[in-house]
Amino acid sequence: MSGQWFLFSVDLLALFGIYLALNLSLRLQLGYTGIANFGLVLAFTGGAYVGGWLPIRLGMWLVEVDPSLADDMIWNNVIIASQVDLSLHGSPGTAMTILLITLLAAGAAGALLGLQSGYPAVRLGGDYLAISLLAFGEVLAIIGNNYDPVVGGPLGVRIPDVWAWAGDWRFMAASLANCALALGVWLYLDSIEKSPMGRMLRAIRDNPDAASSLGKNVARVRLNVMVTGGIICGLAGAMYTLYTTGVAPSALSRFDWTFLPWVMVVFGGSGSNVGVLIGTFTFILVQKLIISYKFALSFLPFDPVWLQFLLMGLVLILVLNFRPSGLVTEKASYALSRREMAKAAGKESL
Amino acid sequence: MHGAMLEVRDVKKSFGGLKAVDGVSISLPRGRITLLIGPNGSGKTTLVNSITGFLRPDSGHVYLEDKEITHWPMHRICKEGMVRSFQLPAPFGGLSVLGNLLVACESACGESLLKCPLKALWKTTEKDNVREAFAMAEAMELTPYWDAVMSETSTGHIKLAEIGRALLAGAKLVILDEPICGVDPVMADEVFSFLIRLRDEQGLTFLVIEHRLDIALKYADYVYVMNQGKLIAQGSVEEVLNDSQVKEVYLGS
Amino acid sequence: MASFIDALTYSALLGLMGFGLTLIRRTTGVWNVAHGEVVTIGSYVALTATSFLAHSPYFYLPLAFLVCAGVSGIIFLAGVEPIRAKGASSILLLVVTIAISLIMIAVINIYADYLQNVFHLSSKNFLFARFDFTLLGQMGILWAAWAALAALTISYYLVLQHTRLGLALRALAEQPTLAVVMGANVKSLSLLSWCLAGGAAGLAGCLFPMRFQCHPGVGTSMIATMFAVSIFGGIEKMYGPLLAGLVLGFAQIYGIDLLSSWVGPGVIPFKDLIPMIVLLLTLQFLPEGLSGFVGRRRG
Ligand SMILES: Nc1ncnc2c1ncn2[C@@H]1O[C@H](COP(=O)(O)OP(=O)(O)OP(=O)(O)O)[C@@H](O)[C@H]1O
Ligand SMILES: [Mg+2]
Repeated sequence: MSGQWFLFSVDLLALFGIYLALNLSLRLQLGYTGIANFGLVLAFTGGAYVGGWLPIRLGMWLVEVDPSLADDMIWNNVIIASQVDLSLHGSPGTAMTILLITLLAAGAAGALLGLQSGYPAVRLGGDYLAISLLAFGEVLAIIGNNYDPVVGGPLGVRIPDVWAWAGDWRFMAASLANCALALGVWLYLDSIEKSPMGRMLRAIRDNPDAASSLGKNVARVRLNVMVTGGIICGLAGAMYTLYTTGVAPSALSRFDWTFLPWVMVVFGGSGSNVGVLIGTFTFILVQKLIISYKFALSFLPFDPVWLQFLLMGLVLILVLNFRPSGLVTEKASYALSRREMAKAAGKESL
Repeated sequence: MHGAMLEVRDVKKSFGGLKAVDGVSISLPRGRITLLIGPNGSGKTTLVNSITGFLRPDSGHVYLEDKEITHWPMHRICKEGMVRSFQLPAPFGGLSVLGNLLVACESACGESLLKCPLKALWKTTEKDNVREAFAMAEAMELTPYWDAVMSETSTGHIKLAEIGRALLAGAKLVILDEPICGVDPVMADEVFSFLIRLRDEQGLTFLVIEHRLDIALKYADYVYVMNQGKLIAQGSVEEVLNDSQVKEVYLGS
Repeated sequence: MASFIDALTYSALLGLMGFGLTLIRRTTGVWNVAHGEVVTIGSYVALTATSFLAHSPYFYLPLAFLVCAGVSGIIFLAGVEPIRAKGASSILLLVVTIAISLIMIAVINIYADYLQNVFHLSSKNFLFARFDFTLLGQMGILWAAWAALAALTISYYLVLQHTRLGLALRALAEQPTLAVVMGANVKSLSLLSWCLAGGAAGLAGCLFPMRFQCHPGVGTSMIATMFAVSIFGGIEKMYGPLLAGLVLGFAQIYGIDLLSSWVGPGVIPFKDLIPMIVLLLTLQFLPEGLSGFVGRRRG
C-alpha cells in the first residue's frame, strides 16, 4: 500500500468514526424517539470548543511551559501548543489524562447544550421543534466566530496533539480512537434495541398521546434522550478536534454537522444501526473521493466540491421518493429472545 | 358521596363558542361498570378528555379516590390509577401487537436510559410482563397475531389491542371510549364478559362510552346520558331507558 | 440617522423574505428551507442582467420576480408535491426542502464560479450601491423595498377579500378539506402560492445587493433569520412578516447601534443572535406570533 493510500484510508476511518457516532446520536433522537434534531451541530460545536479550549490549558498546567506565555493564550497559541506537544511526545500518560478530562468536559458540555435546547423544544410539536432546534444550532457558531477568547475567532486555534506519543502511528491511533467512540455508541444503541427502552421510545415516537395515557412522561423522556444525544455529539466534537489538533468555528458549519448527518441517516435508514453505518460510509467515501480527485476534475470551470452537494441533494430526493424509510428498514424487536419469551409465556415455542 | 372511585364536579369545557361540556358532575362507585351514552357530538369524549388530563377543563374539579387530580398531566394520572383508551385508533404503529401490550407494563429499570443496558436489572420484570401481555393477548383473542406489526393490522384488532393495553397499565379505574367500535358482535360480547370478570375478580372500576347499546346495556351497572354537553339522565338501565328525555333524544319523538 | 435608514431598508427586505415562507407554510404546511437559495437566485439574476445587459438592477425587478417564481414553482411541483402526495409527515417535507436547498447551493455556486472563471465577473462578492438613485434625500433602495413589500401585502389582502381566488386561497389555508369540497383545485392554488412566495423572494434578492454585500451563500446564511421573521410575525396573518421584519430589522441594525453606544462596540458582532433569541422566545411564549397576538387583542 502506498503512503498516499494509507493516509487516505486512515483519514477516512477517522472521519467515519466521528460521523458514525454523530449519526447514531441522530438515530437515537430521530429514529427511536421521533425528535427531529436539526441542531446537531450545537452540541458537536460545544464539544469541539471544549476540545479547543481545555487541552492547551491542561497541557500548560501539567507540563513545563513558560508561564509568561499565558498572558495572551490566543496570540501565543501556536507557541504554547508546540511546547506542550514536545513534552507530550514522551509521556503518553499525561496525554491520555488530558484526553480523558477533555472528554469528560465535552460530554458535560454536550449534556448541558442538549438540556438547554431540549427544555423549551420538547413541548413543541413536529416541524416547529425542528425549526427551533435549527435556530439553536446557529447560536454557538455566532458566538465562536465573534468572541475570540473562546477558541480564537473564525480562524480558530491550534491545540496540543494528545496522540503525539504514537509517533508514526499517530493518525492510526487517533482514527481507531474515533472508531472506538462510534463502537461504544453502537453498542449502547444496540442495548436500547434489546431492552424495554427501545419499545418505549418507539411508542413515544409513534403516538405521544397514547404513550402518555399509559403513564410515560413523554416530555421527560424526550429531554433525557436529547441530553444523551447531546453527550454523544459533544464527545464526537471533542474527538474531532483532538484528531485535527485544531478547531475553527467557521469550519463547524450547519451543512457539515447537521445536514450531512441527516442525509446519511435518512439515506441509510434511521430505524437501524446497520442502515446508519451504510449511509455514513457511503457518503464519507464519496466526499473523500471527490476531495482527493479534485485535481483530476480541474478542467471544470467550477470547484468540484459542489458536485458533492449536488449528489447529496439528488440522492436524498430519490430516497425520499422511492424509499422514505431508508435503505435498511426498521424491524420489530423484543427485549427478550424468542426462547425466553416462550418460556415466560409457558409455551413450547412461539 | 365519600369513597367513590372517581368524583367529577361541575366540569366545563368550551371550544371557542361551543360549550362541549357544560357543567357535568358524575360519580363512579368502586367495582362497577358505568356506561356513558349520548348522541354524536354530545360531549362524551370531551368529558373524558377533560378528566384524564388530555385537555384542560375550563372549570370544575376531578377527584380520584378523594384526591384532587384536576389539571394533572396524563402520565401522572395514569400512575395514580386511572387509565383511558382513545376513541380513534391510537396504535404504536411501528411496534408489534405484543409490543403495544408490553408498552403498558411498567419496567422502571428497563425504561431508564442509564440502566437499560444492564439486562440483569430488568430481566425478571420483563418476564412477568411478557407473561401478562401474552395472557392479555389470549383474552383479546390476539394470540395468532401477536407478532404482527400494528400499522398493518386490521382496525378491529387494533381496537382490541388498545383495550388490552389499557387493562395492562395497572389501573384501578379504566375508561374505555367506544371500545367495541369496529369489533365483531361475538367478540364484543366477549370483551364485555372479560370486563365483568375483571370487575368481579379484581374489583376494577370501569367507565365505558358506547354507541352500540344493544350490546353494552346488558353489562352496565349504572348509566349516565349526555346530550349537548349536559347530563340529561342517570340511573339503572331500566330507569334510563324509561326516561322521557332520553327517549326524546334517541328516538327523536 | 444612517443606521435608522439602514434598519428601515433591512426591515423591508426581511419582510419580503419572510412573506414567502409564511405564505408557503400557510397554504401547504411546509417550512421551505430552500427559500434562502431562492433569494440568492434573485441576487444572481440582478448580477447577470446588469453585467451583460447594462441598465440599473431596478430595471430587472420583474425579471427576478418571474425567474424566482418559476424556480419556486418547480421546487413545489418537482420536489415537494410528489412526496406530499404520498402523505409524508411535515418533518419529511422539511427534509425534502433541505435536499432541494443542497442542490440549489451547488447550482448557485457552480454558476458563480463559472461567471468568475469564464467572464471574470466578481461574482463572489458584489454590491450595486453605485447604481442607486436618490429620492427625497434617501437611497432609492429604501423606497423600492418598501414599495415592493407594501404592494405585495396590500394586493394579497385585496385579492383575498375581493375575489373568488382569494376565497379559495383562504379556504386552503384555514380549512383544506373545505377547499376540496368547494371544488378548488388545491394543486394549482398551492403552486400559485409557491410561485408568489418565490417572486417575493426574488424581489428581495434583486434589491439586496443595492445596499448589502452579496455572495453565493447570502440567502443560505439568512434562512434562520427568515424563519425568525416568519414565526415571530405569526403564520396566521400575511401582514405578520411586515411587522416582524420591522421589529427584527430595527433590533438587528438600529437597536444594536444604540446598545453599542451604551455597552461598547463589543456587542455589534452579536447582532445575528437577536433573531435566534427572538425566535426561541416566540416559540416559547408567543406561539401564535405578533400578528396572532395583535389579532387576539383586537378580539
Ligand atoms: N378539539 C376540538 N376542537 C373543537 N371542537 C371540538 C374538539 N373536540 C370536540 N369538539 C366538538 O365538541 C363537541 C363534542 O364532541 P365530543 O367528541 O366530545 O362528542 P362525543 O359525545 O364524544 O361524540 P361521538 O359520539 O361522536 O364520539 C362536538 O361538537 C365536537 O365537534
Ligand atoms: Mg366521542
